[in-house]
Amino acid sequence: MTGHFIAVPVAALFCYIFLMIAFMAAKKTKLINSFLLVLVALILWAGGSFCMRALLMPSIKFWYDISLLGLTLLPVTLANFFAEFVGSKERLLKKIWFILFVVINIINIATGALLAHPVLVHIGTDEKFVYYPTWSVVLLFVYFAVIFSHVLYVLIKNSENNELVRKQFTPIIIGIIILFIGHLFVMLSIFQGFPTDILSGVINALCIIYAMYKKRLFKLTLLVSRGICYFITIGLTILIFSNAIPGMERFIASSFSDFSNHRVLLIAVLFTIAILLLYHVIKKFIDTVFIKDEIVRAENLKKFSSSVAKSLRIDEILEELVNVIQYTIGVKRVYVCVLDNTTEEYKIAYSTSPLDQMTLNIKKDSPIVRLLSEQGECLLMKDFRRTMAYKSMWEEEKKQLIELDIECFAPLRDEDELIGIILLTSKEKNNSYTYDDVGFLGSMDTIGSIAVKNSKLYEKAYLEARTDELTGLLNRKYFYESLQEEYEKHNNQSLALIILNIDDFKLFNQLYGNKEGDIVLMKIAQIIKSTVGDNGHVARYSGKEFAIILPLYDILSAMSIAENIRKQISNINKKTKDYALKALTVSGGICAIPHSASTLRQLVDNADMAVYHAKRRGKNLILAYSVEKKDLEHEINGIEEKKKADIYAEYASAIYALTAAIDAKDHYTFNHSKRVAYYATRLAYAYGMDEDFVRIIKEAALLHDIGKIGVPEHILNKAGKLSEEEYEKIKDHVENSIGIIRHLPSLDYVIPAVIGHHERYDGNGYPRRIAGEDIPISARMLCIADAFDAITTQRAYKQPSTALEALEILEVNAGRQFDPVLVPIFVHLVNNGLINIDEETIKMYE
Amino acid sequence: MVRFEEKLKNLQSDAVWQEYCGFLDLEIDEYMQIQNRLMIEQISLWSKSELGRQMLDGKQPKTIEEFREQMPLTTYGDYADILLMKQDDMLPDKPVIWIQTTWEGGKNPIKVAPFSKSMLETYKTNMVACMVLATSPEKGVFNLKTGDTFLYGLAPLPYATGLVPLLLNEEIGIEFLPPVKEAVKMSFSERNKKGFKMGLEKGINYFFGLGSVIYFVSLSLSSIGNSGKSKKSGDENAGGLFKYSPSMLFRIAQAKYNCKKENRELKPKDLFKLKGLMVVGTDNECYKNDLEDLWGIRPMEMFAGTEPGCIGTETWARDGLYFFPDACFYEFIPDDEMNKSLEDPGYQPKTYLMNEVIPNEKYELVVSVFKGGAFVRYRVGDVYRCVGLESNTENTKIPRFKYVDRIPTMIDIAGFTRISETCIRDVVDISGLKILDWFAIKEYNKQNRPLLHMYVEMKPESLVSSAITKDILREHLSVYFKYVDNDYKDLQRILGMDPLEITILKCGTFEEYKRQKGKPIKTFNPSSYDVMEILEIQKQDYEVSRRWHF
Repeated sequence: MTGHFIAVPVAALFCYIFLMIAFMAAKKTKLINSFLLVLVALILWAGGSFCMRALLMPSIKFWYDISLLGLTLLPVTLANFFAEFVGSKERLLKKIWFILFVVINIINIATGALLAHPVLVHIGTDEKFVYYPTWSVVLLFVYFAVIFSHVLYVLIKNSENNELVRKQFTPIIIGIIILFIGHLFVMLSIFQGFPTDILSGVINALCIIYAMYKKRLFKLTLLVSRGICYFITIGLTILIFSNAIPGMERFIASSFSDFSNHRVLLIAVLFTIAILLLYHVIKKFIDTVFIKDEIVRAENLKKFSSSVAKSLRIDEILEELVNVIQYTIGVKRVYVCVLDNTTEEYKIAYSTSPLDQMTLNIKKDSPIVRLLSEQGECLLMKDFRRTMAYKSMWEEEKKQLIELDIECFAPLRDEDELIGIILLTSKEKNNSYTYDDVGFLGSMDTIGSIAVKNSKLYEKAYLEARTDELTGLLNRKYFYESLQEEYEKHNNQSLALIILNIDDFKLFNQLYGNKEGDIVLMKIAQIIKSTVGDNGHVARYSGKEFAIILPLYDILSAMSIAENIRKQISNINKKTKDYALKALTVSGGICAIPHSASTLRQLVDNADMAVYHAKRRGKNLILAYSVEKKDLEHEINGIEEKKKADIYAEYASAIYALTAAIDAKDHYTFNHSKRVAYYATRLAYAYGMDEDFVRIIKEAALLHDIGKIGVPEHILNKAGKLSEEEYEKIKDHVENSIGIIRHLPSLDYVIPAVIGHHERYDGNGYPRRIAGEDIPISARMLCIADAFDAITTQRAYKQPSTALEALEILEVNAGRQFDPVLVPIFVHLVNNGLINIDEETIKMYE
Repeated sequence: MVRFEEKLKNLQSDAVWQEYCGFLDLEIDEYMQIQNRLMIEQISLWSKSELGRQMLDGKQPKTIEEFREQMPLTTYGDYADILLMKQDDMLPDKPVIWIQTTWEGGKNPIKVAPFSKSMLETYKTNMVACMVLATSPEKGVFNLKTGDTFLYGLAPLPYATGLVPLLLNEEIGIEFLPPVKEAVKMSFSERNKKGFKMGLEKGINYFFGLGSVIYFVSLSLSSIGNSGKSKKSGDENAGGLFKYSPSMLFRIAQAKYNCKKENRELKPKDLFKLKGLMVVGTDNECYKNDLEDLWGIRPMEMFAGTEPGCIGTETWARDGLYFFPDACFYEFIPDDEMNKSLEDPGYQPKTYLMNEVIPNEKYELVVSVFKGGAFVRYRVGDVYRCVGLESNTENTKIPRFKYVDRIPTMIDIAGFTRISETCIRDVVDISGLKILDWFAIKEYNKQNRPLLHMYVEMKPESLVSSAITKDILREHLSVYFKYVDNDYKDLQRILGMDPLEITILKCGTFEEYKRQKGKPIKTFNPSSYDVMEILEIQKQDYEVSRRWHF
């Protein structure tokens, strides 16, 4: 071993190799690669110097040449590095420097003309390397000077107009100056033997690393791994022991002579212990300095990941998300906005504190949404402000973000769709957001978005389980649940319940078919929902009943809502253009806690009772439950009977007037209608219809051809075949009939039967060309009765057929023109004499 | 908000460029996204304001399509009642400042326009973008620095140009020569002299103003520079020299030496190395070459107006204006639609959007000012030609335009004055001259300077009773133009130019033209072909109607 200062090149070499390994692990960019080249040059230089000083094989000259190779390579690699650092595209000079480097080395290795290798001289016990420079060493300095001037020129030119770039360059320029000074000092006698040049190389490398770190070209933590710990430990241990072993041997020999035979073993044990201790100390140090934050983050992320995996409630997941972000990043407030599909806006669904302002809505077309979806990573407000996209922000939106002090946006994505946005305010102590924060938020995106998506799916399923499929209202089960919830929430305060029951809905369905009935149910649900809004819960209580839970409402205000709804519903069918549908009405009952009920059971029962009373009072009425209602029952019954009688009186006179009119015009049609009424009512009874229905179908049958008033007599009684035009005229009678009946509101319920009696079961009829069950049952019955009579009676253009023939025709056409279920019943009725076709019976029936 | 100055210090220059000039990199769809989004904001702000409610008259447009369908195009007259009374509470956003300009042909001598805080923010950002682009030799490269000097050649507040120094100084420390506070108290020529004197000491980095004014000022600078020659032994001159720094004296000496060597007059470029020369207004094309010769750099044209604010700029290529996407919503009326609507004021011309313009078509500009501006679907009165939808040299993908002129019902001379048909009619009436018929047209002389050319036909009976020569008519009418139009007076006072040119037509020419063509010649800005024809007709022999002799 030579000289006392061998430790300097060793330390330098060690430092470079450490950096080399560390940077090998970093993400490779052109700049990192160019820095690795700088490190190669430094390693050659320091390594050559060390081997030379250690007098290793093969020779001093060999190691000296390696060292000089590294030294002369250094400016070339540095020039390359700086060109990359500033993004310069200059290629020519780089090539020239490289050629110069090659030439210098070839000349010097071959001849030693520039600076020959040093000679080892012994001065007493000391050994020294002595150089014998000639004038030609100046060429080497010129070589360095030219390249470094080029580097400095590039740096200055690029930092001229930009203070920021200048700041970034400062450490690099300091590094180069130190490098130069180091080389000058090596010439001074005061530093003779001490490799200031190599020391300056180490400092220079550190300066470059600092500059690169400042430019955020790599993450320090990325460079530090367990492997690095091992490497440092081994390096340090070797270094210490290589110096300490002779001393220890002496110490053992002198102080513990008994153990001197086992000194190798002893030293080996000590060596092992030292390695262990060192490793732990270094690991502890690195963990504290570099990786502590990383570990904390990873742990938080893990905790978050496992806790959200346990929950499917979106509130809980968002709470967890907000908490972990706030805790880990140290941010003042965090808001999570989730996409609301109905309004197409991202609304704040959760924030750090319930006291936070929750008014922020980010529109789906906002540039924030676009940038987050496109980039898929965090967006810092300060960067966002500088984008062109920011220009399309509304002033109001900008103001909101400023008011909330938002500094960072993070996406929550499900593949390409942005399902949510995390908004972060400024950090504690107003620190700025770091790379680590951004990375952490990226991980949150991955875990958080899956959790949020799953919970949204769950909530959707949950909601679907709670709602009635047709109307979108709460179903009966969840009606009770919500009622219970509200009851508990508003203990000791008022809670009102409205039950609305559609009047004569069964009839409506029979008249118009279930399809029409469903449409009406949806319309009513929509009316109730939009009227009640956020003030309460609306449920489909049963097939034709709706319940409205109104927390904090008393009877009076509930009554006003219910009346409002009743009026809107009664207007539903007034606007239909093609044909009038029966007017729809509802009867409603209201009850409220504590005014007229004290338990939920009572609340529901009493509201039901009020509905019952409303129905009995003549429907289309809202009643509030009160205890006196029971006493009024008798009175109500009276009213009901009276009302019924009035209505029928009105019907009778209208029908009489109309049939008289048709009789005057066309006596056949008058008689035909009477016969059809007889057949249809028999059929309706046989099919099991109730009195109300039978009355309707009878009236419908009497009026079904009333439109023939508008058809010219010569067409009605034409003997030959009808022309196309004439047939169209005949077809018009259906519409004409409706046109007449619609002006008699009390008879409007016969319309479905009348309008549908020429529809065919296979959908080829007229005027609406509806098919099957969509044709109201009354119309299907009327159709059979109508056809049967037409076949069995004499007309101007045909002779009558027998009943048997007629039934045959009906059977043949069952499923095509006629309802296949009703035809057999009708046939059965005729065959068994339950329907007679002789005039006498029909007259009797009248 | 971070000032531009701070950004220069703390950001990479390409980040600064991207922030201010990044709009040049937009695809047309991205451009339209900004336009549409801000327009929706403006529609909602404007419709809710009392001004909007009154003008929409019960209509409630929600989308841009509905708005364009339901809201007719507007001119200043539609807003006059509310704006002239400065009724802040009726506007979409509270105005911070009211900007004023002359209302030619209007029912009031001036018109005013409100600027809200956010409008001013946009104005400021776009103004900085213009400054950056003015110094830029190529994309991404610029040279704007704190402490740069700016020769003040602008009209002060309440004119729109008065906003420039105020807004710029909020962003970056730029030294105005002379300082704004002093400048506003000075007369135009005092200001120029003082400005140049200070410029000689400190150097001049920017010059910004109406093309015509800059040209005039630049010429006067040359004369200041050259005046030294004539006063060889003047004490004043010698005293003046001591005020300058040695380097400046060296520059003056060097400049004079160069001029002598090249045997030419001293030009501003000999003394100053401008970083940016920016021109606004009409007729800039007439001055650009001369200005380039005088200053050594080509002027960059930008577009700013009282009503719309700062809305467009050229780039380093100096090959057409680009409109800023965040200042106004732009609509374009094609040339023929414009003419149709000028002839029939009841006609609603079709408009097209930025992504619908066609190269080489001329369009009248319609703007809706964003960020709570008062003006919507407002006809600014300027005509542009679309010169391309993309540019390879500038690597842009948005349309660019060249300023053509004012709309044909207005004659604008050098950006200084706007003369309408009514204005000329008033002048003719009150002048008492026996002019039987006339028409006026904007023309350019041999030096490519704009002028107002009036072709007049005198009443035959006046020929024997009064002296009527071209010069007398010119002098006479000029006096009345100055009387009727203050800006016209300034044109002569400031620029020293009298833009009126008179041609006396033979008696009966107008009538003969009408007889031959079946219709009278257009009184205001007829086409050049019509003018050529009437001059041809004048040469023919025809009977002069004698009706005037009875």
